[in-house]
Amino acid sequence: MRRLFSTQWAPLLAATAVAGIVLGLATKQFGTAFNIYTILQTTAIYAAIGLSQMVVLAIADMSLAVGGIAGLVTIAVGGLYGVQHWPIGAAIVAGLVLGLVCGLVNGLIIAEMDLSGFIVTLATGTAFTGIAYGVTSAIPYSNIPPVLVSLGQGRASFFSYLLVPAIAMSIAVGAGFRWLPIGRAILAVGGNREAALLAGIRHKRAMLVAHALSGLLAAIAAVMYIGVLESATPATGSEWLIISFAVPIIGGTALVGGDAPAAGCFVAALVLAAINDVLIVLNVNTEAVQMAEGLLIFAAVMSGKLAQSVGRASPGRGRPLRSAGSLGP
Amino acid sequence: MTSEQAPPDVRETTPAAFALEDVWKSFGGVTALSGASLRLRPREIHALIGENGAGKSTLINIATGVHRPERGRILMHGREVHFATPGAAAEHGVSVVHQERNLVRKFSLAENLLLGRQPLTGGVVSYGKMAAEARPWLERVGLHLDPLAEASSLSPGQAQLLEIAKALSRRCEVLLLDEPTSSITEAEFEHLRVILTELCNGGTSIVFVSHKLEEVYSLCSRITVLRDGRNILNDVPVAAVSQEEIVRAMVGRHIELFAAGGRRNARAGAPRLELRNVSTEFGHRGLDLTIRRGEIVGLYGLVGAGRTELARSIIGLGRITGGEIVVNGKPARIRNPYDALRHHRIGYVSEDRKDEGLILRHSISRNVGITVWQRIERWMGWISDQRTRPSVEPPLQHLNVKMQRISQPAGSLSGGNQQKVSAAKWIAAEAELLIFDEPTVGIDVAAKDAMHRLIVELVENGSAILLISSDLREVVQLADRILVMGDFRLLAEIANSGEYAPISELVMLTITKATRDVEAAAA
Repeated sequence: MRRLFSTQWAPLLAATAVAGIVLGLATKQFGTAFNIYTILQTTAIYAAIGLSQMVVLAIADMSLAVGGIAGLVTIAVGGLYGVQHWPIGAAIVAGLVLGLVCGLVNGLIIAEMDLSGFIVTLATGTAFTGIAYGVTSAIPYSNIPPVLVSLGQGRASFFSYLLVPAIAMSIAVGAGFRWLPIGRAILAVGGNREAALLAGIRHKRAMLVAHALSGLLAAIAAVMYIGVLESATPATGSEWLIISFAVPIIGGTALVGGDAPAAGCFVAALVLAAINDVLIVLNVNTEAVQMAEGLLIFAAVMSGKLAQSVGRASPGRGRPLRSAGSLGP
Repeated sequence: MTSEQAPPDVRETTPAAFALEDVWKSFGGVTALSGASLRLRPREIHALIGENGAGKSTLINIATGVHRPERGRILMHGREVHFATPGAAAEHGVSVVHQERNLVRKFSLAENLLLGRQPLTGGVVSYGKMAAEARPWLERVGLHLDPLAEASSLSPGQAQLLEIAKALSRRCEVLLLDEPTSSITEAEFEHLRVILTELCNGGTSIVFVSHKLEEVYSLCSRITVLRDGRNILNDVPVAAVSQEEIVRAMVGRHIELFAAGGRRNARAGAPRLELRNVSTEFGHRGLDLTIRRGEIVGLYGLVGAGRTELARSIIGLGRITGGEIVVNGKPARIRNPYDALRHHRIGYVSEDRKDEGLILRHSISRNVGITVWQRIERWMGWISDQRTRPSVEPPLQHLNVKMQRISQPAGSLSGGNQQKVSAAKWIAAEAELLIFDEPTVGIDVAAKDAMHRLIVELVENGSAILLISSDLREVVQLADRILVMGDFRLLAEIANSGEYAPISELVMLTITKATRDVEAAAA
């Protein structure tokens, strides 16, 4: 329990909860079940997008193709169901496999050609988006399977059904990084590539898995989003880039690699969704929402810095082993 | 020649436990090894010696599967083997401790130790098993710490011990130690010597790379010396060669090792830096010390005693929480290294040259010039390589940095030359007080000698020097006064007579007494 409160995102969560309660009491709209459902629905999507980026940040790489993969998966699922008349289950599986394959392609190019993910995914992401627009001639599929709609828009009071896959993903990813050998291998390569290499860890395989997983998670996010939008449009994902970085960074993921706080990611998604909502409820224009997100990223990085300088005097140079409580991811 | 050594004819018939034969390797046209060999008997500790850049690291990298040789063979018990990856070498029982610290800082000690082979229960990593498996290996090298503590909390010396534990835990048959003792103290070396000897008696063959010849004599039975990628001394008994012969084999000429013996308190002038009852955020309490112009003050202590932390506090990288710092007689508040250098002319030559001393990808001239940019910048802050040249070249020439061009990346230099570049930066900056933190860790005899000469020359020109070193010989050789630090306090100040035996005894007594007092207080 003490460890829970010493994490980087704990203060953030607390601040959001307090602000939420105050707003709930002060305004009529904010505290309603419907509004909370809206926030949680957005949270679920943001969390999925954030996780997709986090798994590549963990290996000290990045992916600019999260949105591109999502766009491609969206039209694949929409097209296979709406035009090819595949059963919805098969269409979704095909979409997820497509996402996985896209990620695998990124990972293969990056690992085998020893290129930076930034450059490779900048290229492939743009290509994926291009394919999505080309295939559909930019026209969305509007024949959306009811099951996806009831997933995306269904709720029990304030509880959005989308939280189920989002929470499951967070737990699965978090546990995978904590307990699976491949998860530890990805973090080891991200934390110190040289050390991992010398320990006989197959870094190319780790890179491949990280990117493939990122593709799969982006595909899940896309499938979740189809129902929310009630449309399968190639434009899905075009605005995901900033969110994909904001969520993991606010959640405490270092850009230099080596950690993957899935729970932090989820909390960050909640915070961003709440802020988004508050500003809309308070009738602030959408540009201000973006500005607030930017400031929040900054605040998250600063609070991380602050926690570090309070926790230990300077990186790795303090008195040896003051506390032994923190470990793992 | 001692009688235990096998006669030559028997040697030829017993296959070596591990051997590299006639190995050739070049990198981008530069030959690193031209026909080097290394022959290791079962149960022996074999010294591999050579200057920085002689090819030792390349030879070790080939022995451990990091590089593939262009020509030559690797033999284990007479059979030829090929290592495609470091993993393949490890499977054959060949392990290495590199001179760089290869730790994943965010992982626990235990996980670093068992990296890539974490114990599993039903396919998932078991942290309980990991801690239990790691603990005995950690304790074997004297790391009595929580195995699940994060590796980032280790001091450089402790990190080195963890690396050794890591190699030991691989139950290797051949263990290559690439300068394992460069950042550990004499007491820790003693501890290590016992462990290595035990290990060797247990059947492991060990290759020991070090620049400290005293260690070679006390630990190793045979020695191989490399120079310019060739064997100069090939597999000879250590007892049969003198220190002088080894040095001559390494550098290819006779060098008169520098002894500063006679210059005690030659021209100590006005106090340059005074600490009055200073305490810091790191936990230093009540520190009083004075460093005068023209004086070398040695700061000795065990790893973790708080020496580096003190240096960092002085230049503003740690908060001063009490007391007063006085520079040139005036109270000073040094907020950051910029302040330290610009306003107080205090420079810090870091022990961690790879991470903190140099920007390895930048050119030599940029690395040295970094401290003078401020002084020479033009309108709107423009600087050019042309303008830095006059400040940058003299110290580089003076220190005899072996380089092809001033524009080559600092990372392409050997360790000793990197350290020279790191020092040249502060000479170019015309610092008046220099803090050298472990200035000769991991550099060879000749480079070390050059560094010593440089330090003495600097004080003779009126600089003041605080010399932090875990090499007690070095401290006794250079310092005018020796301060002994333990557990973030100054334990004693010892006037240095320059005689190693009595001074080292005094220093060690001070440290053991302090440790005993602490233990008594705790009990």
